[in-house]
Amino acid sequence: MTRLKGAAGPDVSTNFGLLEGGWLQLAMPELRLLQPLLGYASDAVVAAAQESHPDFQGLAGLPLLRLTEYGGNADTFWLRLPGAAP
Amino acid sequence: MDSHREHQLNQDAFRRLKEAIAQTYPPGRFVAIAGGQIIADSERFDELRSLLMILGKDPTEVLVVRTGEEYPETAVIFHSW
Repeated sequence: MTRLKGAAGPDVSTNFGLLEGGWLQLAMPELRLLQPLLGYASDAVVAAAQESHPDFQGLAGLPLLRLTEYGGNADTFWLRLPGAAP
Repeated sequence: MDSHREHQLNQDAFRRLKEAIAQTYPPGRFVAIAGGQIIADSERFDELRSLLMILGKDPTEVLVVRTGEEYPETAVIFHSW
């Protein structure tokens, strides 16, 4: 967050402790997404995500997912441009 | 003022000014808080950052909120075990 944030954002208290808010630049050209997005920094959240897989660096939540169309099941997950053909 | 104190001052100011910000600025506006006070606003985030730098501020030390967005003070993160 220290390296990537464009500005500070509101913090939030959670069951993983305090999350530090910060504005990040979301860049997903494949999904035509280029915009500021509020993110949250937490070593505890990263550690929890890495329990699932060591390559994970954090969690992506609804604020990001709502910019796209998404779906899946226990075995797969897909993400696509809103309105794109399946 | 050190960064930590500035950070906390701005967080507290936002909670105090939240309603006033919602009543003053149209939805979607980026509003900047530094030194416990609103110092700038803009329709675009990149323009606000430029404004802050013109004002001599380090944007990474300034608290920015966007009107019309929800910013809960608490949240629960679900995690699978």
